[in-house]
Amino acid sequence: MKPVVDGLKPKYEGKVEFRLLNVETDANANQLANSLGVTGVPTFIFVNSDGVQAGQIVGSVPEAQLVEALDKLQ
Amino acid sequence: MKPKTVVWVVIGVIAAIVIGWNLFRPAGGGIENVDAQGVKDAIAQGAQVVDVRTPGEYQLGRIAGAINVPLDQLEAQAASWDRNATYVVYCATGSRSTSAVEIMKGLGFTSIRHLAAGVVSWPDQLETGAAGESGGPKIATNGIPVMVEFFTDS
Repeated sequence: MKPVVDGLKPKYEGKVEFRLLNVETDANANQLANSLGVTGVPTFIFVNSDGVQAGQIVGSVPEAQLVEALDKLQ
Repeated sequence: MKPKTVVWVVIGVIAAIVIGWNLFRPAGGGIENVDAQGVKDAIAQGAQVVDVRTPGEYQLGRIAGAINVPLDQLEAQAASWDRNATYVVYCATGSRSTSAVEIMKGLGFTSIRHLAAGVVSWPDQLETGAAGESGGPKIATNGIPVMVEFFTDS
């Protein structure tokens, strides 16, 4: 999914913050993933600017699905 | 030994294996319709709970710990899930989750507990709000929305 995510970054520059967390090499990321109940990778969690979680996508999905979720963020 | 006898011995052995497998297969497998207690038992054994309703319904009230994967997104998302894990699947009344079970069966999942009567039959208090609102961990933002991707290099 990295090429897809990297490709979307410019479009959402300044609008959505992308945080890419490697659960194998980053202990804090692993802990956060566990606390959020993440059961597989890739998992995308979408959070509105007020901190409320707006959605979650698990698995390698088409770019259009990520765009749809990103465009819904407020 | 006569050929007919050999055939009957072979049939008998196969029948014994099939019956034995069904009697003693490892607990946790299979696709079953269950009630609330069956769901609780599965959760106690580590099952992942999947709510296939819409995000709006999910926020109004869900079984604690459930993840929200609307039915129309299930096939794409479940494709990457662990086929050997046990999943509890439910919707409001059992209609959409019946479709969800069929989708998961088609993807090769073999251990599913289906809350056939739906979440309307759930006897306990439901968790409400957006995921992460009910005392769970939150992801801090810096004034703009955030997309977090958890990944590995492998």
